[in-house]
Amino acid sequence: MAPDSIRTMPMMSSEQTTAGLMRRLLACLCPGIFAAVWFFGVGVLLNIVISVFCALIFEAVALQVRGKNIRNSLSDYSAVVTAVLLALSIPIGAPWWIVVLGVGFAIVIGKHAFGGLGQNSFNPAMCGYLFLLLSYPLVMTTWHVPLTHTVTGEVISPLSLNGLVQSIRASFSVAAFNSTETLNIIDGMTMATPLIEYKLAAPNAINSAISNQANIFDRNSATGWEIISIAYLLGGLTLLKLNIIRWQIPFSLLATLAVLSFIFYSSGAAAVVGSPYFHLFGGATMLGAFFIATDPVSAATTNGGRIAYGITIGVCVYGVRVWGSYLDAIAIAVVFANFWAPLFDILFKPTVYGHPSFSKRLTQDFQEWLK
Amino acid sequence: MSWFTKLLSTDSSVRTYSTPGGIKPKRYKSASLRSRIMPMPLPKQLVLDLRQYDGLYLKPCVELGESVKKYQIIADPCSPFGLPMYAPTSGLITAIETQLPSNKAYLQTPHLIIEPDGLETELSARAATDLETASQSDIISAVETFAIGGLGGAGFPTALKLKQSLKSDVKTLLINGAECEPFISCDEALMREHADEIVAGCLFLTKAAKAATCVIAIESHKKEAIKAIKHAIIGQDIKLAIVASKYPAGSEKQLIQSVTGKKIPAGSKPIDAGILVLNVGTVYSAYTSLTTGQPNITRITTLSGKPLRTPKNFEVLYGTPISFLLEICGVEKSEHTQTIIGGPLMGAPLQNGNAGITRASNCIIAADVKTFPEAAAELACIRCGFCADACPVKLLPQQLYSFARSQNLEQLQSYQLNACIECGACSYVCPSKIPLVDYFKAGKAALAENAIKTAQSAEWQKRFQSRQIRLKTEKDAVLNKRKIKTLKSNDRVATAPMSRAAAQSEIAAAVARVRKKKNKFNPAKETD
Repeated sequence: MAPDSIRTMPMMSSEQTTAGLMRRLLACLCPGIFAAVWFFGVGVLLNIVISVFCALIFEAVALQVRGKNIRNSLSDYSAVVTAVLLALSIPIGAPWWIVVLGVGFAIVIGKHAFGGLGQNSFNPAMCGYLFLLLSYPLVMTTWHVPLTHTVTGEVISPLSLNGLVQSIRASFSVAAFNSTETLNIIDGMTMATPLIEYKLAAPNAINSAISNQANIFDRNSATGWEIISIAYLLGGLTLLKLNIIRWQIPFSLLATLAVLSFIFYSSGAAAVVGSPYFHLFGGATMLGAFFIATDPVSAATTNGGRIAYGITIGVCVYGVRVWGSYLDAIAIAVVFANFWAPLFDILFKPTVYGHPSFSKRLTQDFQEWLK
Repeated sequence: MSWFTKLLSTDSSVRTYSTPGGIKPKRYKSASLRSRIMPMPLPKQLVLDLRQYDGLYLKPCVELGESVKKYQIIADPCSPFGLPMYAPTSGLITAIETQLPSNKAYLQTPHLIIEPDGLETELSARAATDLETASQSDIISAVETFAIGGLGGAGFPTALKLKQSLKSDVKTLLINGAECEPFISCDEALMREHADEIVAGCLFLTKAAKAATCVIAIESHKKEAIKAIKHAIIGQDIKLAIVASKYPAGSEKQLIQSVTGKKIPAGSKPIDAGILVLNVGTVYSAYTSLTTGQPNITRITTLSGKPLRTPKNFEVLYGTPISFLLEICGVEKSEHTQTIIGGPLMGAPLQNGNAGITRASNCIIAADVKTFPEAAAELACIRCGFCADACPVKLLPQQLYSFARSQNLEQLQSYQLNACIECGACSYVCPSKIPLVDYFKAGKAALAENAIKTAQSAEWQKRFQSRQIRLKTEKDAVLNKRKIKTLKSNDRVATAPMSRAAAQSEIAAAVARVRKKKNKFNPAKETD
């Protein structure tokens, strides 16, 4: 049922292109990336560079193997977006081969094994992340204390040259191949995300840390995660403003998470489950809500379906964070919701002009049944 | 804020409703609206396409070489649903031949070619129709004889539309002045310059349709047209509706939805909801014909595009060759890449520059490479859903696209592909530059073909079954007869055993019969 060879109409088309959308999405990620660099050091950029470089190579090879036009598909920036999103989810200081493995899985299995861009049922970046999480749980759950890059115990600014050297050493250390020694280094210099702190029942430390911070933009503060989240939120709102994503998924996701954490939160003994504020601004919620869950290919595509999809992710994120055994749950929740997306699209099919709506059809059927 | 200003303003315009979807492409209308509507000089020849709106052809009623007068009937419709063709000017019929129409690459159609003599000798006009004295049927029959057809693009005979009102009540006569496609400005120019005539035409047609109300709908950005119409309707029983300016606001069903809030159910017509939609251009042509007593031989056509030195709206005779029009406007040859017939969204590339203007040609665009770049390569669908947001009938083009590609007719049907109005909004917004409408047209054709096939096979099955039944009953009848016969003969054998004498006499009778037969066929033997 291919159209005739002559393209008839319309003769005019908008200036929007897939590559343009992806470029603007990357631009909107920049505030978040900048904040991450500010608090975690240039290691973030190192991860991104390795990830993007490998993603392009994997993409080119996969396209070649599949006999597709390499130039057309590489220039759509979709591999870059996948690579950046994955890189942002991998802890800084993770050995370089972790990044390579993850991105390879994301591009080759997550995307091209399903038929390439537009055909993948699951979010490729999150497939890559889950693959790493299941294979290397320890590496994937140990994050630096924001700012302090203390292999030797001293405080180094992550933005300094020394910080760069340190992160390169962490990433490319020969020891990185040997997991026990890697552990030793990591143990010496890492701390969990605020979510882990909560999980390990040390909420008071975090709370007091927050209440004691006079200046939250001070890089010595433990509130780096919040600033990063706010930066992602700003980027996400820009995406909304630019009409690149629709409000349904991020809004329903955040609302679900907020409502659930509000219901189950009581500031006393039950504080372990986290306040709404912590669920929204600690961890990868904002990155997930605006940049990962909104991946159009694997998400629901009807408006109602998008809301259901966002709610599913929200419930799943909260459930895994609070009752599950994993620390953060964006990846798990997104891939879980990917399973549901086609069903949501069928359930929330909009009423086409001139055809009876779902409720009308139901009442008609009911009336017929009564007869 | 807009609702606030609406609250404050003492506007007499009717309330409008929001419609789903739609796009807001750049309008490009101002260039052709800078000057007034201009008449067009007589071209060297007029090329008149005999194909009418429904695909049937008109039958020429003039001979080759015959000289015709202006307003003379030169071709008759073959069906009662067509409109006669009048000679737009006086001159000689120099050819009756087939050639390509302006916008179709695959269909040669019969054409009449008139070479004007420039004398403009015309047939005398019929009596003008008077609004006060004319009855409903008078106006309708006048509209029919004056060959008034829809000038919005379809060319549907206006009289046929008006006749619908004889059977069912018309609540609203909706005059379509939305004209939402970029570049096209013929209706807007008409409303700016001839608002009074349009309003007078509305009065005629309201009477003809026995409509309870008449509403003129204009897109909100056409400020001057709104002003002119507002001024013209003072003291008349005509309302103004200002609809949101987005494409496709001027599509019949979308316009009805935004003015009345009603949706026309699939398979029924606007008249079933008591609504009749006519284009402002149609109303204007009806008015001029009714008051002058002469048939409709011109329309307003927009000539626009960057390569044109003087983009304008022209009042052109039907049959004026498109190449002639472009020449008059002064085409910058170096910039001109192609010509588009109709708007940039629903139009088609020009196939034959020699072809003439028809009722449907509302716009001719000389395209330049910057405004109309070559179609970009079709990339993979990323299911962004921009198309679904743009769709005015709430289809899911991203889903339909995958079903069309996989030839999944069942799903195409269940996702209501046939509701697609082919406006092209989805193709316009697609970031992957997928020609979605082309896929949907192909999908619709496949659905239609499938429907015909299914109906045919059902018909064949029915015939086969009835044949089987017929054969069986015939066979049964024969068998029954035989059965009865044998039963009877059996009875005879059983009841009356033959005596020797009787048998002999029967044999003798049989021999005599045979001999008689032989003699009959071979009488010569008898004489021997």
